[in-house]
Amino acid sequence: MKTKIFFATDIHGSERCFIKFVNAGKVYKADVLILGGDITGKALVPIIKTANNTFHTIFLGEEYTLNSQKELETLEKKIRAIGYYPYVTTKEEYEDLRNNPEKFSHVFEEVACESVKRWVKIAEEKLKPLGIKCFISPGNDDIYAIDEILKNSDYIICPEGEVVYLDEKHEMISCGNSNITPWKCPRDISEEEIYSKIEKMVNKVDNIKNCVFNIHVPPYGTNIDLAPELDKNLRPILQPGGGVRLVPVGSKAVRKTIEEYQPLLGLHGHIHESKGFSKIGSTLCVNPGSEYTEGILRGFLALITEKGIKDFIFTSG
Amino acid sequence: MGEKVEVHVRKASGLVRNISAWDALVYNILVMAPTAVYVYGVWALALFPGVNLPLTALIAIPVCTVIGLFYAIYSVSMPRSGGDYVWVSRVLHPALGFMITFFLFIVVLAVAGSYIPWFVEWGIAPLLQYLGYESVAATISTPVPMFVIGLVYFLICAVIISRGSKTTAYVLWIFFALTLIGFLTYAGTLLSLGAKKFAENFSSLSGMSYEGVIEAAAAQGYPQTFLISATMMGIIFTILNFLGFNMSVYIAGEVKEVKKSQFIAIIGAIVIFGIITWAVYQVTYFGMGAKFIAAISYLAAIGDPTYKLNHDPFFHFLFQYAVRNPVIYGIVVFGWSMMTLAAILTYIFTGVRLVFAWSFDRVLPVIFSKVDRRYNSPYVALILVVILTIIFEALWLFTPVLNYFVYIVTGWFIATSITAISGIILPFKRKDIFEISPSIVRAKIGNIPVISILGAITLVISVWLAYAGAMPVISGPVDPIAIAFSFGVFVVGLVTYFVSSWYHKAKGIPLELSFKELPPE
Repeated sequence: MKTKIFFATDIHGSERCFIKFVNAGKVYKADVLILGGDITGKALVPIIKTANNTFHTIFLGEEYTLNSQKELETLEKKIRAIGYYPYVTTKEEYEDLRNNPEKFSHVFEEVACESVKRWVKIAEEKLKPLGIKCFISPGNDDIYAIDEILKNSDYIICPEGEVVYLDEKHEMISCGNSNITPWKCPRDISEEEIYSKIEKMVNKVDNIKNCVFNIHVPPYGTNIDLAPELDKNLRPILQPGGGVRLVPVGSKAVRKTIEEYQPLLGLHGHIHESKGFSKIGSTLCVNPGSEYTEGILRGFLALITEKGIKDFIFTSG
Repeated sequence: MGEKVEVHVRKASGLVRNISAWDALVYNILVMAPTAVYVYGVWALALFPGVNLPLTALIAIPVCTVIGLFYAIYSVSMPRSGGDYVWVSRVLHPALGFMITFFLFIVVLAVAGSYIPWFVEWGIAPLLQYLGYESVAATISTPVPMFVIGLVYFLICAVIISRGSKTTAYVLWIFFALTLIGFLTYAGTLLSLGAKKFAENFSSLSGMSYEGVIEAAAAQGYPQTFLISATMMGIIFTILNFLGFNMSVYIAGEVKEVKKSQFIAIIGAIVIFGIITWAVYQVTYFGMGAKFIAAISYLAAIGDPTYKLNHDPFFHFLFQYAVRNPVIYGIVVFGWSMMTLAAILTYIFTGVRLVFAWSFDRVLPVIFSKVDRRYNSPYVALILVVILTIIFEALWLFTPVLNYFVYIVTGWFIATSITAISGIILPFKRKDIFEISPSIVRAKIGNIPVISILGAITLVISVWLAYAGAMPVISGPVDPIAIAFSFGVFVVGLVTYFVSSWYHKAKGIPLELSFKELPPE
């Protein structure tokens, strides 16, 4: 039995990347699609509706005045493509958002949820007829509100915290949490909590040797968890030669569980610039990286059998 | 409305790259081997009698700038390490992308191997000779000692590169400073002394007569004025000296703020290299005399019996007659030597990045993309590249095999032509990439994308240079083995790709999927 899985991660609200992810099933002839965490965007682009029914905004340093609904929709699409959220508002509400962080957070959450709802609908429409399994997980950057939206789908599977079957022989456990980051993201938790969460799932797995660990944060001390070391102001620390000092920032708990249980495959993300693979014992751990701002979907395509991983490539679509 | 609308950003991590625009600029300049014109100039004067060298440099700058703009814009559209391997793979076919960069890979490693004799025979040995250590100079100029020197230096390069891209960039800055000091010393000295003093010294110290050299060349029919036809041919030759100005596209994945950095690195490198080239030619004309330098180059090339120097008339060798000061002469020759070492380091660095990119895409075995965790350096790829460079060095020193590599320029520009074609059609074939690229990539003149226009100009220039590179005046009489040798590299590249592709397809995942376009709708 052969199962072709496609894994992508950290698309951070890029609708272009999400649609590519959904289409990857057909193009790569994948049996299973897995979207790792950090699916929501990072920025809101206010588009101010003026009294004479035109729209004004600044996007990527360019000023836009839009005179029709069609122009507005075109720009909204562009904004969503790179992972920002367009938000049509009034001048008054815009001023209010600027001065009221709580209200901004609330609006941001609403917009992010709307976006995830739309994505779920797109995935259902495109993948149901093809019969391609699709798992979408949250990551540490994602607000908890999106879990319910994902779990409410009658086709998409949100595997967070569960043991799910990719095929008859391969199980998968999923954890979107991360160890504590300098940004204190919504799902940052302690190493002990990560270990406990993974162990709970592992205890329910029938065949750990054929299990896939879909764990957002990569294992500590590998080639796929290197990120710039930051000072207290979150600025990169430079080496004497002027280079950015890279340090491992992955999870020690994740590494420990992989060392202990030796699953078939570790699917990770979180550190966009640390794409690659690393072996911990017999376990292949991968991080396909992310270039969502360029609209490029980086991914990992693997053919797995009962005997292990038959072949794999990294993709850039 | 004119009112500022701020994008609201929430806290999250982001990408960081390690090489600055200025690091990339120095890297590009050193790939071109800036003061190699001390040698190239002599060859040009011999090959194209009547050539006006400074003028060729001035004309080469805008020509190369057009190609440079094309590469910079293309790199901004897809800022990933691997350069045109990635672009051509995405727009045309991965096999073509691999083929052209495989050719580049072989070229840079072959040139890296060839630069050790440059370093020894035309750098360190003349300096030792000048200082009175003639036997030492003669000993190290034989193949075995040169091989050992190369071996040691390649291992030093491996250590530097293994410490990461920023450390490599740091070392390149030191090399650049030493090269620049050597060049400025050369230029400053010649400008301060003038040709009269040089003529006196040359006539009294070389065993030849300054005026006699000019007269002998004239007697052999060497033109006494600049010729337009020779200068036109010389322009082609000078443009070839600029090869490598776009190398930062192969490390784009490591360059910070790539959208502006590539323009600084590529265009800046062309301008600075062009100015250095022009200045070397101009001060050499001023300090040694235009007629003299042309005449002695020609006499040496044709083996005229009146030529009695025990060395080639390279500019930095003749410089010893301008000033009888071992320190000043030493600075100039040492600077030149450091330039050769710097160039070797850039070539090995580029080769490592290419192997890593291919391996990451599984064209080469996955082992070559293993990365050292401490310095984030692809150490297995580095070992492979160093071994290959050592083999190329051995081929240069102990066999005549690489003499068959004379169509390298033609091959290089065939590769550039393929990249140019992919750039021309990018906006039409890969609308998904084009439309979300930064505005500078999407710029149009009328309805035609600028990248297509620049690609078309690059294609025309490349075809012209590919043709010129195959002309007998540059590559010598047509030799079928040489043609087969150079173009065989393309074939080996294609075969390598398809063997790898077949292997992965048989296992279940076709290699082509690495770059397969995913519909964004």
